[in-house]
Amino acid sequence: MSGTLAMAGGSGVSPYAGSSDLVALGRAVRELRELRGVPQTAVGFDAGVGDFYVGGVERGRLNPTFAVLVRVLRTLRCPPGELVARYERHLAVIDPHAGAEISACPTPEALAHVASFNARMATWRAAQARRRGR
Amino acid sequence: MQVEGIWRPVPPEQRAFGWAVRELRARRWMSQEGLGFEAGLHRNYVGALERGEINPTLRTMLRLVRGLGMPLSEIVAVYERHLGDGGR
Repeated sequence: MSGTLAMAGGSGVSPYAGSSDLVALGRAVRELRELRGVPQTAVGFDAGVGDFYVGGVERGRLNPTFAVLVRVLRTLRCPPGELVARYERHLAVIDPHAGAEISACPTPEALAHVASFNARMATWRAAQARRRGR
Repeated sequence: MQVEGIWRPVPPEQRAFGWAVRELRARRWMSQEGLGFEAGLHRNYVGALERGEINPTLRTMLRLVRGLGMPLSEIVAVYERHLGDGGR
C-alpha cells in the first residue's frame, strides 16, 4: 500500500521504514543497480514507477510489492535468486538476529509516522465536525 | 485481487508465486488456516495469495516464509522453477 500512498502524495513512507528487512533489500537493489551502471531514473521508468520510488526502496523507506520487485529485476536483467542472496547477505550484516521473527512494527520512525498520521486525522475530523456544525 | 464482478487476468509471476506458496505449504502438511495463523494472515488472504490474486508487499512475503519456517531464498527457488523461465 505504501506505493499507493507515495503516488497519492501522502507522506510517502512505509510505516516499516528503516526496519532491517527494508534496509537490507534497499542495499541489495542499490548494489545490483550500480553493478549494472543504470541510473535510478532509468530503472524507475522501465519498471513503471517514479524514480523517487526506486530511491525510496534503496534507502529502505518503502515496502515494495512483489510486482514492483519483479519489474525492477526484469529491468536489471537479474534472476530473483540473486537479489535474495544479496538481501540475505546484507541482512546478516545489519541484523544478525533477524530471521526468527518479524517485528510487528517498531522503529521510532514508524511510531513518528503513526503519530503524525493520527494528528492529521484529528485535524481533519475536527474540520469535518466544524463543517457539519455550521 | 478479485473485486465484485471484475475479473482481472492473473500476472504469470504472481501465479507462480502463489503456486510456490501452495507447494511449500502442502509439503509441510499445513492447512491454509494453519499457515495464516503462523504468519499472522487471514486464511482467506492465504487462499487468494495461492490463487495469485494478491500482490503482496515484501514484508508480507517475509511473514509468509517465516510462517513456513524457511528462508526467503527457498521459496524464491521454488518460484523460479514454477515460472520456468529462469525467473527473468
